[in-house]
Amino acid sequence: MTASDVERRILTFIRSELVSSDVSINPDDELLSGAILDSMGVVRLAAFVQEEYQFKMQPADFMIENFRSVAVLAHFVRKGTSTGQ
Amino acid sequence: MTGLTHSQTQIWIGQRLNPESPLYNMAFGFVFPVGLRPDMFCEAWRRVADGSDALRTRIGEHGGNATLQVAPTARRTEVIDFGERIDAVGDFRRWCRERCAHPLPLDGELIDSVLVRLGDDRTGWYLNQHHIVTDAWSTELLYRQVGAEYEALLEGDSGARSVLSPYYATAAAVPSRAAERTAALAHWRVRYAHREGSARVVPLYGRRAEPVDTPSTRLTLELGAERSRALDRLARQDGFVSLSDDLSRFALFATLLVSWLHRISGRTDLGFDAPVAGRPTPEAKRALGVFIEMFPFAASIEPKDTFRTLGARCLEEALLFLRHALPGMSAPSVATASNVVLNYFPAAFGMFAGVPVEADWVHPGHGDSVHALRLQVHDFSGSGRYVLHFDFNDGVLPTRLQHRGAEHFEKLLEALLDDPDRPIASVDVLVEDERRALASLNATAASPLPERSVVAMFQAQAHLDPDRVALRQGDSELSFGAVLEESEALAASLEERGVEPGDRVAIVSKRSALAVIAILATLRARAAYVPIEPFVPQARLDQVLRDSGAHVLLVGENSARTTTVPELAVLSIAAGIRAGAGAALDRPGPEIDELAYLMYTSGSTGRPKGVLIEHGGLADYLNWASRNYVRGDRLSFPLFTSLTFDLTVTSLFLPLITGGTLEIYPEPDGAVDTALRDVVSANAVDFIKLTPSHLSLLRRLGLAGSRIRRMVVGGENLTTHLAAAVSEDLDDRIEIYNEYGPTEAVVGCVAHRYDPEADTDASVPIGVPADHVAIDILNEALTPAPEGVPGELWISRFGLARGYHGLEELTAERFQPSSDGTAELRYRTGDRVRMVSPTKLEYLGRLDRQLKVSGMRVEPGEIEAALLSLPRVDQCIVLPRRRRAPALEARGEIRSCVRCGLPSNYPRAVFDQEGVCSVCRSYESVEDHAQAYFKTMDDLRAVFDESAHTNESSYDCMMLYSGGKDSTYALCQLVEMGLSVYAFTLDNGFISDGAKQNITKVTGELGVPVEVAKTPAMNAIFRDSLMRFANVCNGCFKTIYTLSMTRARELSIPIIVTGLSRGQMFETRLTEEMFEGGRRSPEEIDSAVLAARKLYHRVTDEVTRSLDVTAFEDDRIFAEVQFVDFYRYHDVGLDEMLSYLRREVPWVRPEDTGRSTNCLINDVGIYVHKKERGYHNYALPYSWDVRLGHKTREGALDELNDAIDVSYVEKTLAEIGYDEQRVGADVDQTSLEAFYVASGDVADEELRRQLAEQLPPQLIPAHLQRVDTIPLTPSGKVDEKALSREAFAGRPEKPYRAPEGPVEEYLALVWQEELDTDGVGAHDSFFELGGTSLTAMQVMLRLCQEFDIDLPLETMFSHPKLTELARIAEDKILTDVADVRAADPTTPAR
Repeated sequence: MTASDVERRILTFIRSELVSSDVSINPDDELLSGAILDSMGVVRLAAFVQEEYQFKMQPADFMIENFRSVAVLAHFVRKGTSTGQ
Repeated sequence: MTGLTHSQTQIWIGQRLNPESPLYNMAFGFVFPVGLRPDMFCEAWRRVADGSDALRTRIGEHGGNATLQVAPTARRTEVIDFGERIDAVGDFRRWCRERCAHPLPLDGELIDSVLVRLGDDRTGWYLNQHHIVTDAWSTELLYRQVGAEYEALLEGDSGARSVLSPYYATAAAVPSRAAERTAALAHWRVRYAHREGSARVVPLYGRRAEPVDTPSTRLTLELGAERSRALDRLARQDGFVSLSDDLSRFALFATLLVSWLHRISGRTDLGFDAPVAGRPTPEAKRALGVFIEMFPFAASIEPKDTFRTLGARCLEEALLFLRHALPGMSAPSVATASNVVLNYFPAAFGMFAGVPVEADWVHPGHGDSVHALRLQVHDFSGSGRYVLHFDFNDGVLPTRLQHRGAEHFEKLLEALLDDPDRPIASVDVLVEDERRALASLNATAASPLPERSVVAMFQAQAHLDPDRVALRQGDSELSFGAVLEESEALAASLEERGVEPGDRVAIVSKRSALAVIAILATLRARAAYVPIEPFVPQARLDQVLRDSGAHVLLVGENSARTTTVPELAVLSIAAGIRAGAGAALDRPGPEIDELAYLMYTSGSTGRPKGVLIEHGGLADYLNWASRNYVRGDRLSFPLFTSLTFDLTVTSLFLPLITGGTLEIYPEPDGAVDTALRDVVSANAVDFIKLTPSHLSLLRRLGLAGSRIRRMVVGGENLTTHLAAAVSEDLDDRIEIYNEYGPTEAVVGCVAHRYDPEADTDASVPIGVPADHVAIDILNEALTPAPEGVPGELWISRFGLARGYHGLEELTAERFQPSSDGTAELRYRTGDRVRMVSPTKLEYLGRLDRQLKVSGMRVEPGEIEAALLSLPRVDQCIVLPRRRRAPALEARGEIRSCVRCGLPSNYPRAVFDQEGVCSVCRSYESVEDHAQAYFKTMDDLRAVFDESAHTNESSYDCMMLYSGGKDSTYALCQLVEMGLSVYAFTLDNGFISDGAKQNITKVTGELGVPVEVAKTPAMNAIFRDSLMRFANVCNGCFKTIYTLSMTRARELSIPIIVTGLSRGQMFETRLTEEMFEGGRRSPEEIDSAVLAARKLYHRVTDEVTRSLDVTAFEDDRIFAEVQFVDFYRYHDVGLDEMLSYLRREVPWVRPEDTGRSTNCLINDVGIYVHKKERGYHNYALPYSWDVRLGHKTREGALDELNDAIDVSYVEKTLAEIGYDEQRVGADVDQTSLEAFYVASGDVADEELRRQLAEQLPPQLIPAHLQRVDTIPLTPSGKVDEKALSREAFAGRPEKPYRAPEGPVEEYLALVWQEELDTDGVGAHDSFFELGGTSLTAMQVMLRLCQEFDIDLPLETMFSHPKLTELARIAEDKILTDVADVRAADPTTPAR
């Protein structure tokens, strides 16, 4: 699983479920402050990556820092799955 | 046109419930510091509003459903001018409120926009929208859009700039994945299910009232810049910070709300509803209209929680809440909606066309009636200052408590900001006026402290009026002078025996003048008296004697009590008086700080604890009681309760110190103390102190004409229902005082005079502290509980108990220094109370596991310790068992079977079109086969001939003889047959005189010896029978069978003949299904009946407890004594029987019972059965009598419709000691139930017997239930709820498993029908669900019939579990199939 694989899946999810398909987002776009996602969207995104990549986020992982952008989140996901959580 | 959206539907329903209420007005008053141009503003509004389908909506109604119309244009903005007014802005605000107080009708314009000129440089905009077309997000978006259009118009831009999404299309197209929806559904299902329990309504300040109306008051708390900034900083700290600022802040406000709800309700399981924007997509974010939905938010709080630990859990819940709050997933209903809402608005109204704004949310003065409180948190002006609105429904809290609510919230908020790691329970939220109210409640020091002991007070009375009667018992009286003299003499004897001041003297005596003298003498000798029940088990007596360190044991008259405790002198009271007569006692009386008594109460550690009370406390209580209750009158008081119960102290001493008379009513020698009956029949007292249970009984015994004028009720909760009934009985000429007080705080320390006008809650308040008593109501962190909130009662008083004798640790735990820094100790009562008003306390029950059973304090731990000390018991728990709610009387018209008269209110009675009942129909089809079961007199002769070979007795048989027509006739026939008969009768205490005369005359005439058996346990057996079966006959029958079999065996009589009619045989032994198809031989049926009889004698009940049933432990008695039902062998019509009796014997139909029965207690059973079960208990047996030709239908109906003399029934119930209030439910009934895990075989009886060696009778659990394991909660505590539930349903603790497969499913169905229950699972056991041997056979018959198999009818007795029985049936089906296959080779093998 490469970084770009993960980014692609996350982007697909955001486009199909959280925003309308005509919105263009790039991996480095600010998700929250850029008003692409609201809190609920981020929570659903968190649920999606946990389910998709079979790992469990701890309460402390729910940090703005980890969800800043698709690229950051993808990085976090790869870290989370490699520690075998 | 499509219908309303999900969100709109919720609001539509709410508005329809309150059509005239403006509760859904979402109105804002904006003030801009510029003069806006009205023309441009109106055009800007028009552009936006006309472009929004939501704002053009009108909602009609057709056939109860909402219809939707979208008009081509939206309502225009109105323009008005306040410019000339002096206070234009103030007037605008007031005008906004006034305009907002009117609803926007659903079928009219749902929006209202008014531009108000407030001068040259100030403009107001009133914007009101019905919630059905808007939400907070939409309002902010509308504001922004109008602003943008206005700005464009100002800049000369003529084209509309609106980029809004349409509402209805967008709402219909909000996406979400199927997997997400499934997970969300599961989440909300759990949350909603939780709500259906108790967690829906949080009682704010104890107010449980459900609002019904919409008026609401808004209280506003402005946090200001500093506190708002501090909150925002905290929301970014560890433990509070999360994915976004809004989420963190929402969780923080949720934490505060949960903390507050906890502190003002005392609840730990809490929740509220909160809205979610419901706009997951950019399209939805750009749509005007309503998208929000309310979802449930759940939180529980632990005693040790700090704001931070609770915050972490609220954050976790908030994440789940948001994740699953998918559009369309909420399912709000009145049944699941919380009464509290948290509305956190993250949005702010920004600049309007570059102009700043001051936004005011206008409260319409109404809110949804489901919500007791909506907490609104916002910063609409975007100023960085939070505004909190507390919108309280006016139907729930009075204004005083609304304001206090906001103040308490503020206190918690400040505590959070001050130290987020502070335990929430430790924050003192009380405000100044609450503290003042408490202080004035506790200002009880006005009257003087006691200077004299009770001994000195008594001596003063005796010197004052030596000839006045002090004690009276029956005909004998003792004057004050005599009592003084004799107590002085006994005191001298005690001194002589070496009793020193401070020593203990134990007294074991029935209530008597001697007992009173013994107590006075002990006190006079400056020793403390230790009262002991006269009939306690020896082990208990010795234990108390040892524990108390008593120096002398004083025993009453006729008491042969002795003890094995060494170095303890045993002295008869009478002998002591005689010995000390004339001797002078040098010693002065007791000092106020010396010990007066040592009383034992049930202890949790497994042994009773002795409470040490000094003279100061006793005298102080008595002085107060004298001032409060006696008020200088000379009253007569009854001594009828146990001397070991501190409730008795009041009546014991008050007459002695006030010159009254003490009327003494001793306890009888039995287990049940029935002295109250004597108090009533003597009617000699003016005052009575008693428990509510006693009071209820007293009412039943009859208060009419009673002399009692003052009544003090204590010991347990007094219901208003009971107090009102008593007051009414005595035409309000009675003073009823509800007195509260643990033994440790000396008899009574809080009291309230019942006021029939004012006291209307379920329980009568316990009132206000007595003299020199101060109270505190504290939570688990010892912080004061606000008014209305339950907390533990702590008491300080003059003369508080010294502590527990020999239990220093426990004493230190329960008696702690007051928080005010004085050395004074306060006692931790373990009782839950609350202030129902600033001046009234209410008792709510025990905090710990301690229970009250009939006014007695019972520590389950003590019983558990006793149980665990038994060799085979491994684990156990003792729980209270609450009274089962009585069934309602069946409603509707009652029909009767046209053949047998069986009424339609008989359970499972089904009538066909011809009006014939299912029992008749069923019998009709088997009548011929049933006839084969019945035999002839020749057969009967053969039975006797057969038994004669081995009979060693001089009698051929024993006849159970009631004196009624059936048994008289049968007895005559036996004698005519030349048999030697021994007649056996049970006198249950209620046999009619007519029947008694018949018995004497008939047996005399026939020359038959008759034995009349009696048992002292009869009333207990009646009580038990009423509890179990709601009748008296079952208990009576079992008594007869038990006594007669035992007696027959003693006399070696081999046969007992009954006079059961064929109808009674069908009622009690046979069922029509037994004869189905004639498949069963009479021998098979007999074998099943015998098996049922064995089981019957081994079911534990009052009969097996009270009578000697050792003979039934093995099967031999059933072989040695056989039963013969005479009418199985003989058929005779009613007329023939009666004419025979007239002709042959001096038998007269009894006329004093009013019906065809010999027994005067019958009506009691009928009354209770009808009340509790809803139908007549004779309905079935009479129908059988009719069916078999022994009664006419009309005769049966007449008897079933007989009027019952209720006053006779009530009197009889009181006489047998059955509390009829069980039915009327005005006393909280609690009995004890023990669940235990044991190894090896243990019989309940054996356990009971062993327990009786250690515990007094009141502590022996009424129900003993063996279980395989004690279920635990996830946190590892005993799951009391699960156990209680099982007990309530009579089910074992096995996890439920649904029945599987055709046999199990069929069986479950049949059980449900036969047992009138539902939810039968595979692990259920038939008899534990309340099955009887007869219904068990019924089930077997239906099972065999359904699957066409043959199994012994008694199979169920050995295999009562559903799975086991199903397995046996399945095996049988399989072997039958295999047999068929073997016999018929053409059947293909699989």
